[in-house]
Amino acid sequence: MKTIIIGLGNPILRDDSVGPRAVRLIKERLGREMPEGIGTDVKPDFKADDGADVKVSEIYAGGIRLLDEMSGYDRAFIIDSIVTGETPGTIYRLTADDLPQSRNSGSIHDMTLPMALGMGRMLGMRLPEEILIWAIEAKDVDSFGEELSEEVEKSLPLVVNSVLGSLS
Amino acid sequence: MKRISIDPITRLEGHGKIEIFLNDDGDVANTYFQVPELRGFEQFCVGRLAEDMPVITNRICGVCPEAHHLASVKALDELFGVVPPVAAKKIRELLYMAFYVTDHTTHFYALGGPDFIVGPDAPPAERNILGVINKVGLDIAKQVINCRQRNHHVIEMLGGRGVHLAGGVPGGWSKSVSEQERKEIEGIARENIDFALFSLKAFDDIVLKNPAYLDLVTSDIYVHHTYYMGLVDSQNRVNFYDGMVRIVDPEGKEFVKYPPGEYMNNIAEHVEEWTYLKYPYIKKVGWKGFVDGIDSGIYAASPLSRLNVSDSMATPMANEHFERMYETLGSKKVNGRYQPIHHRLVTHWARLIELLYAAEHMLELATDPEVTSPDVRVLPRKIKGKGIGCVEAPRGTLTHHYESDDRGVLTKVNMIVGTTNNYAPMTLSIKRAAEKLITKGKIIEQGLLNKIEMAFRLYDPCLSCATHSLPGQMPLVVNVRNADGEVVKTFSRNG
Repeated sequence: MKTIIIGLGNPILRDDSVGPRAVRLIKERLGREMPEGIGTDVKPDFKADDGADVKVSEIYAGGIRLLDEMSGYDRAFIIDSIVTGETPGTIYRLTADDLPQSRNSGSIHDMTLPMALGMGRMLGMRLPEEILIWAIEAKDVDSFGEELSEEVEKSLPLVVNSVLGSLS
Repeated sequence: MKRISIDPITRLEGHGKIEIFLNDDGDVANTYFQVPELRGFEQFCVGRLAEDMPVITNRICGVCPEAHHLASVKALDELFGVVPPVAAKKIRELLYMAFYVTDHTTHFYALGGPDFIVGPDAPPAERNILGVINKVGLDIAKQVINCRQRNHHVIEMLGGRGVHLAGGVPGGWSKSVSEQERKEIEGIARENIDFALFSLKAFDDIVLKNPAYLDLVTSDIYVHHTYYMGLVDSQNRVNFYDGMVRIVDPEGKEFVKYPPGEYMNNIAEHVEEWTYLKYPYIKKVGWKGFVDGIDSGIYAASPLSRLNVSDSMATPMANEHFERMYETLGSKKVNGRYQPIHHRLVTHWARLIELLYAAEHMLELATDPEVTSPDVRVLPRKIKGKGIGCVEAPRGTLTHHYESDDRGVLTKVNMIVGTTNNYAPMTLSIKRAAEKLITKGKIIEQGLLNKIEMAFRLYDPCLSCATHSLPGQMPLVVNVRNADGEVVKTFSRNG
């Protein structure tokens, strides 16, 4: 079983950076330190508790880019910010069937995540059977900065634990 | 540039929201296009080391980090008073051509193309890449995916990282190109040329040979007689990486040509009280409102604009297609160059010509013996304290302007990103679409959203760095308001 954990979001845009931050913590917890600003070219090879292969990556643009990233894996866990108007810090656990509209899962320049998955399937790409999305309600996605809002910061360890818990 | 402070409460807000205001007769008076603006980028940067900017600015945007990275290193070359070795310049350009190939390809097949390939009147749910696959066949999607993958591989190879590349440094590039890498890139460039020619052929077969589509392309719905901007080389040919900024007037006469560092003498920004967006315009012509014509300082910077400001293309096959495009649309040569094309939907054709140019130029660079030179860096030895770097981003001219103290710590950061240049023309196109479909209070509902979306799509606005991202595909909301400002009709489509 090959799993990819993807942190989606802009690393320097306050609460939008929650995905990249979460995957950095996950990587630390899985046993190695993640270099700053890691890209998809770094291919860590972790073993989860059940012996599964795990790759951790950080990307910004969704849509077709996300499709490229998930291709070849059995399972994909995606962490992203979302703006629905609910209480900041709220964690939603979604599947691809929920037609997720988290902030970065689609791209205004190409396609939504469901469309990307549809195209991948038409092309016979090997795509994850299971796609789980953790979307964290953001408070500030309009300001540049390296700090999360207090509410989202509090949710960060919960998200990390939840993702790691789902690995096994 | 003049800055006006405006109470934010008086401004309209919303993601991708368009407000159409009608007059007493029920005709369109004005259209307003809203996107939220990101705050604090300059504050985020001031106080940091200037040399960090190439890896900070390429995080602004997940779509064109390569454009920001290169504009940034060019600004740093100047700030540190250093001229990069020839090989470094060629490696930068080589990477940039690979980026252009992926970006233009994705735009044409996933975003702009569906309007033509699936048809402008097809239901929105089918007007996407899945519809393109259904119509043209699965092979096209495979080609698009392969094209993206092979060029991302080049970007990763040269830039050190696939996302948030890190190759650019003031005074050059951090890594030379091996002969083995060069050979691999040469092969990829050849495949890119075949793919670009295939795409132009597809455009020919599907659009140009279909009278209904050709009528749409040449209809007056998106015709705006504006000025145009783009970078040109010493022979006034399109150049994505370097050169002088050339502006031509709506009749095609050169209005001004200036080094990018002089942008502040040539471009000013207009502020409207209903939006945070600033509308750049040509200073010496002036702001005359949202109108086109030779007396209005509105200009566009897009693939079509770049072709409109140029005398020719720098590569042979792209130049053939360039001439064919102007001839087909009846443009006459005046003083040795074609008069500009004002039909905005032709931007899609221009984008494919640029795709071919990028592929051909990539091959030129990949077969240039100098590209494998180990001499890729000149170490900076001084700090001049000011640098302005400019490249053509796929969506328009991109300018980075940095100032620092004598330690190289940033004191000022300003950017004019590609999309910003096109705010005013986009507003013109949206207004024109609305005028066609709303008269005397009667709204032709069928097609209103799509006509407005087609206007957006041809500019492919990259709002993630101009203002910031919208979730998924643009969740467009259009409000039609009567003369009293009350909403009489709302249209929306979620991505």
